[in-house]
Amino acid sequence: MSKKTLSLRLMCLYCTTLLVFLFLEQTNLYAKAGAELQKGRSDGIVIDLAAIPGGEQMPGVKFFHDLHTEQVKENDCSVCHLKENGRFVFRFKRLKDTTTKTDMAIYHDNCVACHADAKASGKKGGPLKAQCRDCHNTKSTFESTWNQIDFDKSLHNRHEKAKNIVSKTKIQEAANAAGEKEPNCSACHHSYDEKTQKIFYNKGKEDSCFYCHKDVKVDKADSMRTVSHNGCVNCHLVEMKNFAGPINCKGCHDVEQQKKIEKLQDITRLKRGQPDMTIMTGWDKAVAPSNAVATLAKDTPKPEELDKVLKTHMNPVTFNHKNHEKTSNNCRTCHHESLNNCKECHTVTGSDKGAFVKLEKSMHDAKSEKSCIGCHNDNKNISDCAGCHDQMPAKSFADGDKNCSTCHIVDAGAVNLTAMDKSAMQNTANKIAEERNAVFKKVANDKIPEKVIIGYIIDKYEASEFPHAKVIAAIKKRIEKNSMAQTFHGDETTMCMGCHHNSPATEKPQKCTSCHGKTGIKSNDSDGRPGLKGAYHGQCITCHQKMKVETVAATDCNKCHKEKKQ
Amino acid sequence: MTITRRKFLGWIGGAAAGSTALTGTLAHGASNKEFKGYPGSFGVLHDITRCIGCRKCEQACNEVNAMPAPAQKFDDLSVLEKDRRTTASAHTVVNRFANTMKKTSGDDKKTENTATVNTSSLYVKKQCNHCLEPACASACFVKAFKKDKTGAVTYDESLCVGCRYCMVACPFNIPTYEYNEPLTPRVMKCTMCLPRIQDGKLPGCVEICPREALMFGERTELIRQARMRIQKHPDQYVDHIYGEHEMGGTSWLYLSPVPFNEVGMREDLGTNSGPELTAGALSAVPIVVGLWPVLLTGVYAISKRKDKIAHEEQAEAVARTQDAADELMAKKLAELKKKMVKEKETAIKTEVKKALDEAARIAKTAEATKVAGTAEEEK
Repeated sequence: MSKKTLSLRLMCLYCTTLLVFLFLEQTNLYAKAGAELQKGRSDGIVIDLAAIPGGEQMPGVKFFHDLHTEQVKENDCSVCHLKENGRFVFRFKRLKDTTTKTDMAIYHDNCVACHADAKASGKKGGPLKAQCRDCHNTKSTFESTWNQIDFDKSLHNRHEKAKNIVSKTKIQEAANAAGEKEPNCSACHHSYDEKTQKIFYNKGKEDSCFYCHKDVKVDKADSMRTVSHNGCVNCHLVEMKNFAGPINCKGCHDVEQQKKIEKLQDITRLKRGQPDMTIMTGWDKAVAPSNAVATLAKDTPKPEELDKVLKTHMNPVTFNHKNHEKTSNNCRTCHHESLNNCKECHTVTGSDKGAFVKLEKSMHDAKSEKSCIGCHNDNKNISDCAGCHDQMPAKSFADGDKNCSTCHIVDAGAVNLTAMDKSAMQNTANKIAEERNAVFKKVANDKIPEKVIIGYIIDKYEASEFPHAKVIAAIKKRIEKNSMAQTFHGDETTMCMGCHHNSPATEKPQKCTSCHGKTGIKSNDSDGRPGLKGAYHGQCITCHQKMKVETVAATDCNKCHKEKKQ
Repeated sequence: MTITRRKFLGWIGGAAAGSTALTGTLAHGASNKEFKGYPGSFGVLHDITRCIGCRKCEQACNEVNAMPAPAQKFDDLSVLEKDRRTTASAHTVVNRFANTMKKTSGDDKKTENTATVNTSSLYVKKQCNHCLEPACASACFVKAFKKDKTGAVTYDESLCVGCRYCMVACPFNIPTYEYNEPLTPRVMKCTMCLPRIQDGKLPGCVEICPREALMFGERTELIRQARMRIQKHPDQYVDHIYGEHEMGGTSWLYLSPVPFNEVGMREDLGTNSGPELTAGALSAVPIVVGLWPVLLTGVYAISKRKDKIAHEEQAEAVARTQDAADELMAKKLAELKKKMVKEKETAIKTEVKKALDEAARIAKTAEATKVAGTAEEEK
């Protein structure tokens, strides 16, 4: 073969390969053009209809909703969505899903028609009829900034306070007539009546939407996704006449946008008849002596029966419901399945309604976020607390953490709890809690050493000056910020035990050297305690790291141990 | 005395034969027995959660082993930027890794992030792990490496021939070689400070560690302590003691807050020791070496004997055929003789008869003639 023919052939080969590649890469070229579109979107929806049995199906269409609404004048949703009873139904050009074939035709006809119109009027327009793969492809990926919106206390409160949101029920009318201001709860909250198969406003029984509207449609209750869009967007759009909240995707769902949502500093408490302060008892409601008050006439338990109940149960717990409301974002933080009393599902011996989680476990399970101990333990991870608490061994409830009496402080017999009604109970709870806080002992400042000189490695470094009082003051400041810490640290000597661990709570706790010594080849204690050097460095460095006190780098020896003067 | 390669290899033959005979009980390498370490042997527990990356251990190691001063001082923490390995002049190095421990802290909850990455770093000390059944010792054909009763894997430079099989065998990539030493290069690795241990002192790195991230003690006790730490702080550790079973167990043990492969430690090593992996193949060697000559000689002898027998049988058969043929011939000859005799006799008889007949005829004729003569005479 001559050189000329060879080079010709090679050139031909090169050209064909190039063409093939260009053809294959076509979609990618489009994607590059739309690269801007792919960045940080919170409005990506996949339109995918139910598969026709036996038929082959194109992949679903990735649809950017906000991209389309921006093209629509004056937020006119009716371009794509139909109305039923004056409210939009957020399906594309139909009120209900029918067969895949019909629905598919709706999409194809309307999408393409609109794209063609746009192109005709000189706009860029979307893919047309023969460009199937421009919509139906699995290639285009986008960086999602979508995040579920948390309708937290602040947002809830803003809706409560909104003047434009008014209940349309008779209660409101009656209240208006009487000149009172009735809360607007009924604008959103409703219950479902099985008999009449209708929703109605159940005053005083408002629940979280999530209790009925789950991730997917269950029985009559539509999915949370459907009802939140139908409810929230329609209200923002129709009832409020574009006055109120967001109506596009990113307004609620974009991570960055969510940060811009105004947070109320002063949040009014939700009113649903919950107590400020209450006493939690351990006995089943069925045998609950407090029930006896209500049904006093009928079947009052005999005194000896009551006595037996009181004697066989732990002392009740005072619970500050009001304080706990402040520290959680919404009711669901604790009340996960309904806003009922814990005991209704978590019975003493467990029931299927409460997933067989016993009452005791529901309060003490260290691994659950919803139990008292679980949530309190989680709070120990806050940097303000972690300095001391992170170094304490994890205790399971059964590990003999002998401080039941920190919470179980109500002597039911002595205060005659069984004869109390709600308000009396609240008063008693307040009184008991106050009494407990009153015994809080402070350590006198003159009893706290100002500085502690540590000189065990004086042969290598100058002795360290540990600013004992300064450290205590810093920790105290952090405790004062936190009402839980104030409650549970008993008195100020508890705080000493953060460092002087394993020492009894006293104003004169042991020195480190009482337990920790120098490390040698056979000095390891079988209880796992570190040597003196490990104990000092462990305590100081871990605490600094966990409490994010970064004034000293852990590796900067001379910051604490001054170079020895020769 | 100079050692030539030829001489040396010659010795090995003898030495290997001798040593297997003498130290049979100590050679666990090629046996199928499980070796769980010498009772009471020591180890070190390295708690990664405690290490602050101060490099004091590197410094102590350098001083204890009288190594040359490094290019960058030990308090220069910028070396942690790079992932390092042990070198001929550093038996131990500390490496930094990103802490990927996911823990929902109370702070995060307040800022409404469900889970965030703890951004602080983790530091991991690297040195010889002093395997219970060291692969380096198993690979060394001059027994320069030995597992000491204290737990240390020791190296005897007077035995080493510099083949560096140990470096290939080590699953942790630890032994290094003094490439810069032209005359007497040695394989270099952590000694677990055996001389210090024998003097009743802690290994240099353990002694200096300010945070007690290293803990020296009996291996069994260290495992107990490690379990206790995991139990006391279940959210601070992954529930695994690295080295308890890895490569058949190592004297150095590790605790980590993140999966070990995230701090540069291999998780694919399995729980079999290095020697165990080769024991199967190596245990076949004596059989092959010892039995094959016997077997092959046997096969040779058998085939030889077969040939011999065949030959003999052939000869016999030939002889037998010969005899039969001879007999047959003799028989035939005899028959032929008989026949000939008979024929002769018959011929004789015939001749005799013929002669007799002739004679008779002649006599008759003569008589007739006589008669005629007489007649004529009479006439």
